[in-house]
Amino acid sequence: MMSMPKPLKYFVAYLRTHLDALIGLIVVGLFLLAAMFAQAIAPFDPETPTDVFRSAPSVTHWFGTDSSGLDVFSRVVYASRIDLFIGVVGTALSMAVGVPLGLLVGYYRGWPSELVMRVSDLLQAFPPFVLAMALVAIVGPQLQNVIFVIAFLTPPVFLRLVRSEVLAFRERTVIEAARCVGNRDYRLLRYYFAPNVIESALVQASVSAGWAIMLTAGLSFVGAGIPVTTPEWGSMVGIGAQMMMTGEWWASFFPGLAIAACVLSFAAVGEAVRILVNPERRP
Amino acid sequence: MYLPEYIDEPLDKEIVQPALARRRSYLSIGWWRCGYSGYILRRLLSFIPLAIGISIFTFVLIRLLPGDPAQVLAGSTPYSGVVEGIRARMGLDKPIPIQYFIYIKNVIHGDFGDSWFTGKPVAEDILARAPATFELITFGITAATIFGLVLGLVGGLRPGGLVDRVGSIYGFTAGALPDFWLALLIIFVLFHLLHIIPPPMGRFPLSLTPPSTITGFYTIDALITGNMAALRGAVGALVGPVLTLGLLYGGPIAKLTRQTMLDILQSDYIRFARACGVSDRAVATYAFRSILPPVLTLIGWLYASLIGGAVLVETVFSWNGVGQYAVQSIVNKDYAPVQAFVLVAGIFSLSVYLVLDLLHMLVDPRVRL
Repeated sequence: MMSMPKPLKYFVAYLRTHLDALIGLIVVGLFLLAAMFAQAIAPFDPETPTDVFRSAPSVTHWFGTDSSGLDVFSRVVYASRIDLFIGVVGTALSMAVGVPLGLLVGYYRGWPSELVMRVSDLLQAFPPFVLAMALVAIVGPQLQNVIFVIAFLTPPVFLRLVRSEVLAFRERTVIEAARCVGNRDYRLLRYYFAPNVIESALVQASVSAGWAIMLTAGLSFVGAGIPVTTPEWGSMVGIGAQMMMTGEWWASFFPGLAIAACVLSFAAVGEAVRILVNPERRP
Repeated sequence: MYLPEYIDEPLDKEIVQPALARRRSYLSIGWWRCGYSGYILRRLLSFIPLAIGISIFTFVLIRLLPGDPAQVLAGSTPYSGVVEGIRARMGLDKPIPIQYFIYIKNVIHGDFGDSWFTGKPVAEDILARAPATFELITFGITAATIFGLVLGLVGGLRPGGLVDRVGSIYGFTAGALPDFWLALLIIFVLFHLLHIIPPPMGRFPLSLTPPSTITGFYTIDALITGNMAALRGAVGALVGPVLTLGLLYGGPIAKLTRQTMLDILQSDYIRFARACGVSDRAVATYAFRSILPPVLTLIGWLYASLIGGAVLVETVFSWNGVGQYAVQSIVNKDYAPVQAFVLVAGIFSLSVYLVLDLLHMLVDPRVRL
């Protein structure tokens, strides 16, 4: 215990008292493992049909098979690759745009900041799902395009959050003192503002990653996202939708459960990450 | 008018003169900076640039489409001059800003272009489907409000109790469930296992004739005309999708209600009322009145977002509303309806935010500057 770096020690202490964060971390870990070792874990190939159709969950097919004979368990495992990738990369790109822009917009006043704020107002006025659907349809339904669309739609969230944090923080004495000893704008932003706003941005990131996964799943569900043959949770729910009416629940139940579990555990871990980043929150 | 003969000098200096000065400064900085009417005017004016921005964005969105629409319309092997003819008729040979103005002129005249998939004008298609969507989201938000308020109020008044714990788990989970998946689960349980709801085949049973159109809401029309069979059919079809939306959107309402309730109960004036021996019931009433503005704002905001947020639920239940129309158009690469839907939904949410801000101003005087 003593050899552990201090932030990590507090993190572990937090996990002990907060069961939801611990479960969330375990679930995220399981999904990451599934994504990394999909080939070793999945008993069947996700894109070649087996010879049993619409089979209920059994010993050979843990989650059953769908209407074209694909093994649902193998596909759920393989799909975690794509969904986690989109969630993480899409959110990272959004943060890379939104956080620096939010710092600048909060720090500098003037018409460029106003303009940026109005553009983000504009983007947020549209219903996000329909706009995402239209944009993906225009640029073409492919993996990288879904990521670009997420990276285009999410930055306003980070921008607003970071801006409001900067506005609240800029009146502090620390900033005045730092400016008095001759720090330039860049140093102020980089060493004084950024570390103090990153906490809330990271918590937001855990929520946004979940949102990105939901958005991807929704797009693929109606066939406007990732190509249907690729294993992806949303499109799998879509494939199983017809079977649901006749009572064959497994083909859409398990991929949907994976989405819900993934989004929930991301949100739970986000709260715990605060402890790692912000010394003030440690006991 | 009665004027006192003697004006107390300090009173004059400290109260009357500053008031007069303030009044003069109101006049000099302009009446639009103060009071209700000024706030309303400024808020109305801020609507215009955003609406123009939305229209430019939707216009550019469709202009970015790959391919030349004139060539697509002309077919694979057009006669010479046909493409140019179509281009001239659609105004595509003009510079982009002129094209934008033509687009805006058409939109103001209610012309959103034609859908090649249904072969009808888009405006007609959207108007025919709008009542379905509004009926769904209105009942949906009502259900969400009931779930959310009940759970949030009980949880906030008795923190740590059973309802509170169930409610907080529900509030946390509701945000993480994919709506289309929850809709399918509800169909599986209520339709397949329990046979409570009809199959997810639209908003009305095929065997009955819909009530004559008065409001466009089947339930209300059936009530007015006294057609009980139609009412039963319409309500039955609504149960599934309304339950889905209610469960999903009740979560955030419950969370906010609980949190505001807890904050208010800690506030000085409630503690003072308690100390004075005011009954719990009366205290709860006071607190309820103060949580209304933020909660109502959230509900309004959710209502605006539902027009775009219910598209997947509409699709699952074959609701044939505006949202499902947008989804079908995107899947069919039919772009005129998509453009119209994005524009209409954007303007609709802007208007709802405007109304919310104005209502908020009426309720909470601190908003006005």
